[in-house]
Amino acid sequence: MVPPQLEREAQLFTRYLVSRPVDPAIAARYAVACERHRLTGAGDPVLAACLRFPALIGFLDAGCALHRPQHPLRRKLFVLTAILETTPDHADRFLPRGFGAGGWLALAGAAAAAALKAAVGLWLLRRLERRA
Amino acid sequence: MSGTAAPPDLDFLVVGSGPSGVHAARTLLDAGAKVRMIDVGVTRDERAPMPPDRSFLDLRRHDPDQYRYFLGEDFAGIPLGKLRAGSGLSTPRQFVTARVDELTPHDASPGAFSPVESLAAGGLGGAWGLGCFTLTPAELEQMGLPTDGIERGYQTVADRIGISATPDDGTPHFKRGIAGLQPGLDLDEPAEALLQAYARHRAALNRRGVHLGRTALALLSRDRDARRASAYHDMDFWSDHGGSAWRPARLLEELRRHPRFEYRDGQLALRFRGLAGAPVTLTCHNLRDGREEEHSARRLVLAAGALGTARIVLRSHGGEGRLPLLCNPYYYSLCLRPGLIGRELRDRRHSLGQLVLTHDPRRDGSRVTVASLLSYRSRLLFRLIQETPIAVPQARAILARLQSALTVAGIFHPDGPVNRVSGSLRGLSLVPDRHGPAGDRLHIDFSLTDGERAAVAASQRVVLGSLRRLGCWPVRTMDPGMGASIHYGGTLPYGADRGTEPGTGRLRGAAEVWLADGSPFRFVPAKGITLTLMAHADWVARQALGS
Repeated sequence: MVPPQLEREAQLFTRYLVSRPVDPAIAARYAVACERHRLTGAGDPVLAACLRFPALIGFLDAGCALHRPQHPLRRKLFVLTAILETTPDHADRFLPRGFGAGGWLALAGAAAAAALKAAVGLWLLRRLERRA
Repeated sequence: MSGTAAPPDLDFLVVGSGPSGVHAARTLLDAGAKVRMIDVGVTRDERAPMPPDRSFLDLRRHDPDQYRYFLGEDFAGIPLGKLRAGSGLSTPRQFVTARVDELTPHDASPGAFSPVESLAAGGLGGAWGLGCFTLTPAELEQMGLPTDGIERGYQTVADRIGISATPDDGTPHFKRGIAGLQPGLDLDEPAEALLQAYARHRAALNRRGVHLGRTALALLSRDRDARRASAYHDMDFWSDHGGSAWRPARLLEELRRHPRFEYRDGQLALRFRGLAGAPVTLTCHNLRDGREEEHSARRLVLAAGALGTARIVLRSHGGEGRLPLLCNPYYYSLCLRPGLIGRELRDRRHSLGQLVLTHDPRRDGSRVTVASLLSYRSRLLFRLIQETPIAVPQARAILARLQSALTVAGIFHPDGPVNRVSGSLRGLSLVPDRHGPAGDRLHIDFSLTDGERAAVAASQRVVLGSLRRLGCWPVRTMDPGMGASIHYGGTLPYGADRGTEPGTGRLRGAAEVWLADGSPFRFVPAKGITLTLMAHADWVARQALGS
């Protein structure tokens, strides 16, 4: 039985990371991994904001990546990323692949999205930290 | 205290079952000696899942249980937090460092030195990258080692373990003088492309003292006895199916079938005593019943690793004093190969070091810096995503597309000679600690002087500049901290008052004790020292037999 808070995190974070609904087996693995690595994040304003306003996850992730790389949000996302990577349904997203012009466009798009999210995320993170 | 009466004909006690211990024992047995090996002997939990004998891509795409062996059933194989020594060990190999914190504790100034030690059967050799490097006469001389004896040891060890290598520009620098090698392993496409680029820039690079060659590996390219040639499954980081990779545990298994060999695991060696001409008595902590136990033999060979042996020697001298320490400064650099972006690469490959770049600033082989080059694929992308300071989905999207074009350069710098390093900045001593079974822990001081840092930075600039010239652009260089090279030595150096007798390998002040690991090395070269450790162990064993 996955605790409700972790179940909710698994749902939101899986959708954020791979744009798919979470599989119950993945949620169960996520709960075990969080317990093993003692990832609670209880009372953390950044995590609370992510759960309340899921649209902010990407910005806060990007802000933490630059400003607070060891933040519980980042750690939880890494744990779930590792679990998704070692699942056949998602493996191809993580494997090397050949590509043409479309791939170059996707690369440029990802880089631009990363920069935009980082700028907004840093601003958001500072506001949250000030309020806390 | 419980006692174990020594059989009257027990010739040698060997402490440790790592690369040095097993080769010392093999040489002693071959000469007719009776040998008992003392070891903690941690083994892998047989219940823990291992990857099936299939290729990396096949497993990744089809095995629903892959997380069990890639991450561990409790997900302990997901390294979180700052990069540190040993965090690169794959889940199935993490047993190699199990119980170290509990049984052989250490402390160091925070962030100053983080050693990787092993109490496993087979020692750190269970996670060895299999790179085999011969050293130049100039390097051997600085280490205090006899060139003839070590070169004979290289051949002995190569005949035992099987080495695959291709003659090329690297031969004079790191794989000279060994006969009977297997043909080199096939390269992957990024390595082939790098060699082609090197051929174009060879003259200019050679003028700067830079050479590039294929790595010699203790990985078979042809079947040998019961061992199969590499299947190129790209799973070498995770498993040893087919026995193509040589590991000390393999030789330990052979030794255990020998009628004159006895393996005592569950024993943590604490200290020894013995006068000239009298048997040596080794006191151990028996991990099964928590009591002390004694073993006696005519002679003792210590091969517990430089740090493990230092603990035993310090305790045997009453816990007093301070010993020196050498360790390679080590960094790794993630390099991007723009020419390979978007290219579809072959699946058939091995995961180990493909090429070695050497920088010999003095052109005499005495202070060579080494970059070991391998492609990034089978270590899983999440480790790299973790090191990338952007949002996770974008990091994944970018890195997955760039993955074929990523090369990891592990850059090692030499350290020593021991008489030139600052004794005030580096050293080992024992301090009381009631939590450890020995009642002590190893205190380690280790930092580089400004001059040492400058020399490392200068050589690193040449190595990274040479890689750029080959179309391999360093995008991020990471410092996993001192100790991460996993090459330690110089604790009981050849020729030092409190060290090892040159020409014999015998510990000074202890007539019947020999040191077969890296403890006596007066210099730690940048090249991987595992082959030299094994050759040295063979040489020390021959000295101990002949004394």
